[in-house]
Amino acid sequence: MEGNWSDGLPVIPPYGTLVDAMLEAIGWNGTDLIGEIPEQNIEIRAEHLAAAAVMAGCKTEYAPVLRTLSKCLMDPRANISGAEVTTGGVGILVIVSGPAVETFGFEHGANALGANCRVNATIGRFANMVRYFCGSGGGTLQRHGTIGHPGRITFCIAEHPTTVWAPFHTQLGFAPEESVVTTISTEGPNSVNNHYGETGEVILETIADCIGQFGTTNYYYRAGGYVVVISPDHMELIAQQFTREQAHDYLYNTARRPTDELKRVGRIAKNLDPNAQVEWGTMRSPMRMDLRKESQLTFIECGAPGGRFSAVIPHWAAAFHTVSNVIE
Amino acid sequence: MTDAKMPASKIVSCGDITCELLVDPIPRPKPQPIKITVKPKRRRVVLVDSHKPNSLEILRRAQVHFRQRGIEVRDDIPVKPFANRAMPDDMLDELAKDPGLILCGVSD
Repeated sequence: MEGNWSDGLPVIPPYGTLVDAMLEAIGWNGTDLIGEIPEQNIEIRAEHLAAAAVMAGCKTEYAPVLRTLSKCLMDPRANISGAEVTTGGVGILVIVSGPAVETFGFEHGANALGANCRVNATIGRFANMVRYFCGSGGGTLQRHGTIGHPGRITFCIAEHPTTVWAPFHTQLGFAPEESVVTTISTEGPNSVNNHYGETGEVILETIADCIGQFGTTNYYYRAGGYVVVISPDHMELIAQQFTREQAHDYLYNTARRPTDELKRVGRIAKNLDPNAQVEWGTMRSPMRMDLRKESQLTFIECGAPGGRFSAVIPHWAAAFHTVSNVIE
Repeated sequence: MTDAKMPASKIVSCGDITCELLVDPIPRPKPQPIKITVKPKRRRVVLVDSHKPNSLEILRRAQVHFRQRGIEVRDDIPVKPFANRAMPDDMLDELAKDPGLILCGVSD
């Protein structure tokens, strides 16, 4: 802890014997080059990642998930260094979907977004430790997150193994039967409560209101996106009226604010950037669906029945990509 | 802002259980990071916009304040194409040739 080898919580010391066991389980040699941040002269070796996995408290049995997750994190599109230093204070959200959720014992029911379950907690912690340890230029870069959020310590969500709509990863082009790890740099989750709504439409309208709220960061660049977390009770109503594609279009069209109102409260700059694409007198979306990236608005089904809470998780406003890989 | 402590480059455990070198989880820059010249060859400031919201406006005001204090400031303010991406090599090369003090980025 005093040497600053920690995310702030106590860690399992990365003894060589423990790291060697982790390396063997994952199938790496310690000096294997797993990733690079060329502009910072940073080379990320297998032993760095294996040490982080040990420190986060991961079991060697999680190796297939760790190998796939590492591949996501080391993808330059994940931009872990940007996520580490941005004023946006974002964390790395890990989404696990498919049969692996049951294989590895991920919690996907009660408190799914902050489960007190070792595999959820340590896999999410590993991802954010890697962001923290590898994204700061070896400690030379300052972190500028204005307020950050608790998911910078750990943030892992597992989808129900059986879903009403198709599994989460099918929105990203994967086959339903596959197990997939997805990483997205995100802000913290916004809770969406609706206990008395009687139709799927009013539930979605409530979710749309949360997406399009004045404070959502995405009104800046509109390149970010949202993960919409739907709980079982809300899903029961929504699925009676909407397919996933219909819900996608409904939210895109409804989650909007008038441009004049956005200007009044200061969400549109007085001196407009030519790229801002503002059309006065219209309803402005925080998403630029002309990019038509399916990953800009996705749905995940998790959480426990018996309560009517869903959630909206805004992507980092500068996160242009989600990164997904199949667990093999 | 709190002072960030540089992480230790080596830690040895000497607890009750073992005395073993711990594996460093933190990749270090190789070679060392770029050295920043704080004494420029020429007493002139070049402001670079990081492309963050309001950055350009803040830099333009900074330009005025510098000039009021008699400090020469380059007229044009180069703009990084993306706030969340590293500066392109050609832009970095061009700025590296400038004998003045380069100040880049405003976090809004």
